[in-house]
Amino acid sequence: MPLAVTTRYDYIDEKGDTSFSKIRVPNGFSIAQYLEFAVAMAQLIATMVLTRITSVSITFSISLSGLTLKTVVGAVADIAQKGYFSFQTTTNGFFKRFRIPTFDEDKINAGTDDVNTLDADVAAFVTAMESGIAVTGGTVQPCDERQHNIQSLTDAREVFRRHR
Amino acid sequence: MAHAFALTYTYQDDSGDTATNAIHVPNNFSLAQLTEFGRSMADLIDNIVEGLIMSLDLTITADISGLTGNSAQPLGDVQECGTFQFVTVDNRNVEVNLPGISEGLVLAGSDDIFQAAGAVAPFIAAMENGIVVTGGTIAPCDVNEDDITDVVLARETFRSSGKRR
Repeated sequence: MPLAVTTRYDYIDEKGDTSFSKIRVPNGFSIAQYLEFAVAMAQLIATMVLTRITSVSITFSISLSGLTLKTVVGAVADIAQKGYFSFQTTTNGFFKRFRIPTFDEDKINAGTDDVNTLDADVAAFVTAMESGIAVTGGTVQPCDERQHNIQSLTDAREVFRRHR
Repeated sequence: MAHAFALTYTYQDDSGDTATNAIHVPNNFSLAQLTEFGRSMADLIDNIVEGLIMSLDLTITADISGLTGNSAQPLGDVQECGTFQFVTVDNRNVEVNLPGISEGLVLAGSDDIFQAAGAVAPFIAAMENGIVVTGGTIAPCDVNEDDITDVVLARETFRSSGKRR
């Protein structure tokens, strides 16, 4: 059974302290309908509180069932070891950078921190980021937060971060 | 400018530690299309990580620029909550906390929120009966999608500020 969809309302008070609340709603509606609900609910809440609603978001839990994802974690897997990827977007000066936790050490060029972008699995991922993935009725092209399409890989290397 | 939607992947390593990352996608696709994309991308990522992909969430952000009366006012404290407890059709409790509830909505001499107040009643009605949207009605539920049917209580509560004084 799919989990309910979560609408989240974030607040800030006059001192700058923040908090949030969640209201769950059923699956089965369109994105436009969920947005309409969330904004209407936010308006109802805004009349009851003395805080400012700073953002309203909606989170859908996507099922991973049916995929052939690995089911046994690698013995050397560590979330602090990441694959860092930087992409240039279609707008000059806007980059999309992110890190993939537990990056596979076998995909790193020996004696360097560089990700082997010629590796078939890495190349397939980079191509999907640069050119998108075809879905029913179109192609979804990854972008940055401002919706500038990702264009080309500029950097890919292994990085390490602290455990929190 | 409308924000891009975010697909958040959660990973787990062999110590049981978890981490996330997000891939942003344009906001002009349907839920089905973004689900298809997110699942395909999960397959590609799985081939280049040692850890397990534990979950995938799609998060979209609403434009709230049109809200009215949405401002932080002098007496507002996020620690002062309006706690609403509802019950679902299966008699499960669902609690919603509204940080910064207006003191003016609390009945004098008690912690009870005045449920018949003009600002409160529409909220309770929306939680119980849903909100009409284009082409349907979306009614709040619990995490298992059991429909909320009634309000059980509504009272003022206080949370720790998290700051030691």
